[in-house]
Amino acid sequence: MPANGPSSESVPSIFPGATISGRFRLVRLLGRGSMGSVWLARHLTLDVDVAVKFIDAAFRDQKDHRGRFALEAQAAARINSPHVVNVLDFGAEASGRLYIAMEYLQGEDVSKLLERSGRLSPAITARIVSHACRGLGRAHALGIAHRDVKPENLFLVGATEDEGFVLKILDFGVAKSAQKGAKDFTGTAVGQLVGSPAYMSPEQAHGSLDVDFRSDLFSLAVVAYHCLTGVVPFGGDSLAELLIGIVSKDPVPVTRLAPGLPRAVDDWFQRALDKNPARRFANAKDLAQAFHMAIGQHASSATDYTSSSSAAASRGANVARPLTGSDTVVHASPVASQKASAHHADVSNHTASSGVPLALAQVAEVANVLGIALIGPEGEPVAHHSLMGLPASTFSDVTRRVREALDTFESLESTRSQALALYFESATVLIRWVESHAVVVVGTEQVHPTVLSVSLNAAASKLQTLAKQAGGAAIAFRSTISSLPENEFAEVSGTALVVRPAATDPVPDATIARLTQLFAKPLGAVGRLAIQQRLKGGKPTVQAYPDFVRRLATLIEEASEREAFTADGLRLVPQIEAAPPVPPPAKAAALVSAPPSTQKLVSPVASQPAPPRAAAAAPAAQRSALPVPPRPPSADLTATPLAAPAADPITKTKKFVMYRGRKIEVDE
Amino acid sequence: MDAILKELKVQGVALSSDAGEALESAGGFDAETLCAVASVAAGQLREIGDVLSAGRLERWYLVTEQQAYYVSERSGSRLVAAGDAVKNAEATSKALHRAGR
Repeated sequence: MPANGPSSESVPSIFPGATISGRFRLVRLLGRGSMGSVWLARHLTLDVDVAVKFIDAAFRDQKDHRGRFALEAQAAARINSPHVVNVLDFGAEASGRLYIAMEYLQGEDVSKLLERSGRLSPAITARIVSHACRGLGRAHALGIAHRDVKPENLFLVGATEDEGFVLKILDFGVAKSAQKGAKDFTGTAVGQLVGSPAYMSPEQAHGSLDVDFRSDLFSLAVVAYHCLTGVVPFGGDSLAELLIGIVSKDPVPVTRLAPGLPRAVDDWFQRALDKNPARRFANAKDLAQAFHMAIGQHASSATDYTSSSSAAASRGANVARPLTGSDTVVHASPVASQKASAHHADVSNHTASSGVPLALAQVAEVANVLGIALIGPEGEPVAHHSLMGLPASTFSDVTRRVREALDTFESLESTRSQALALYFESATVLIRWVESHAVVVVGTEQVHPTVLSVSLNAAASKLQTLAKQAGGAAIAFRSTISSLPENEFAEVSGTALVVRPAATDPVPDATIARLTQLFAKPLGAVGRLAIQQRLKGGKPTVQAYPDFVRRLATLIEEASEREAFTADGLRLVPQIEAAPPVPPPAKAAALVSAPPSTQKLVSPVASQPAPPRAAAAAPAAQRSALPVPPRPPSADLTATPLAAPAADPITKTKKFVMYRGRKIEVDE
Repeated sequence: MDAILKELKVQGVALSSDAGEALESAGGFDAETLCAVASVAAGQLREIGDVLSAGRLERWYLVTEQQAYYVSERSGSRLVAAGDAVKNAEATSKALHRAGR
């Protein structure tokens, strides 16, 4: 039969009992896919069942499709992963129609399981993500992107009830050529080839041809979302609406749909479903490990993952990927190194960048972490990352005190310290030493110790690798830092000026940090991000601060939480309309001694009674039932003050001292 | 002490006064030295809690290349333990903190 023969349905060579290439005898049609049909067949030599997939005549005759089909079949065969369906043979049957012979799997795909169960347990979902990542990771390392990851293509072999299944990814690579040929997603036959649009990445939804492995990871995150919640994150009444949602809307946090899940899962999805591929997980292994940590388990085996990014690039894959640590060391610029040696870097907004920032950012993203820093051998901050506004100097101070404390252990043994954990009433401090540098993490008392420990170990391991590759920690760590903002506050020691904030002064960083903590209580990571978004245009002034707080409060659904947040938030900054007349500069400026560094400042929040109006904003019973946010170190150092109620003029002059570079209100 | 030693599977466990005097111990290790060292270190580590306004130091552990030291702070005393260096010292630290409570 010539290649340009009739359609597949009328081709006589494909029917039960037909022999294909002398190797397989067709038994029965198993199903039809987007590009062709799949048959159960018997391997005549090996006497085992196999599945044979035929490409439809509509594609068979397109040279482009034939070539891609062949290439993808060969690629899929190369993957050789227990989590990717095994390709046994590839060829053309008598009519010229291409086929791929694969292992015959018995079980059901994730889509069927979801139909039966509605939603899946975190444990089953974690296993699905883990297995899929192993298969995808191996493929990505070969430069192969699946491009059609969806529940139908994730096949579970074995019992799903007791998590005893093994997941195998189907249709590997076939969708790539289909995607290339698809001009639109309007439900036409061509459009259907790319699979269900609900699982597409934003870049696929845009119709971009530059879709790489990160698209697979996005799609897998959509599958995970579906598994945990029973619904897909992006929906709509029309395809257009769906695609708009994929490219522009944020999904509902998973914990709202599945309240029993930890908040860290929301953080995971936020990253995994980021519209920008560069901000997503760098590879399948990272995605899977982060998911396990977020869900409260540990990845069962890291060794089965194959790092996608570097290997894919080395094979010439069309991958615009985030840099890895090893890359950035190679591209280190002497200028950057020189600058970095003079200043530390705040890497809070550089989670997608490389080396040290990436390693730190991954720890900083663990739930309830307040900040992380890399401190050099002399106690100097090399880099630090704190969404909560913890200054680098705090980490240096902590490290110095730890070093002093551990000196006494030298009497026990002469070996170096590797890790230290301190659990306080309302904070957790973990330190890992890497090449004379200390990686210091400060979290609240609610941080999950094991998750944090695993995450910190992973970061330390990355830093260790960086140091080895660069031939030295100092060079390696500093050369990967790209951003060197000036310190916002100059260090002040000894004495400081008493000042009063003006209406047009921006509110202090510590206030924002404290406000972020308050906001994160009801909203978690979403709350932190909401504040970050609103601060992109700059911090609010003292005058605008109340409106800033009230606008934020509208995002909190629960009335009691909203009122409590508003009341607590407003108390963080004095109401300027209630301030007494500004005294003449000569009287306002008085020098006071700054307290010694070890002296604990008495927070006015604790020492003063709640103002009547603020207390009225939330009923006493509700307020006492609210969890008290852990006191952030920076907020405590700066002792963000209670303000008098807006309508009650402050009769007492308030003083502000500069302490360790920050304004602190003190009682007279 | 023996029961804790058995449960934790460490080299030694000791109850120390806040000042670092070994009150009771079990296992083959230098309890007196460890109690004294832990007392000095704890005093300095507590200052970190002051820096962070983090409240009372409840428990801590240190892992070196060869050893792991676990300390559970109590009112007026502390429980200390020493064991082999391990990757996940968290579980032992928690178990020590729970022990005897």
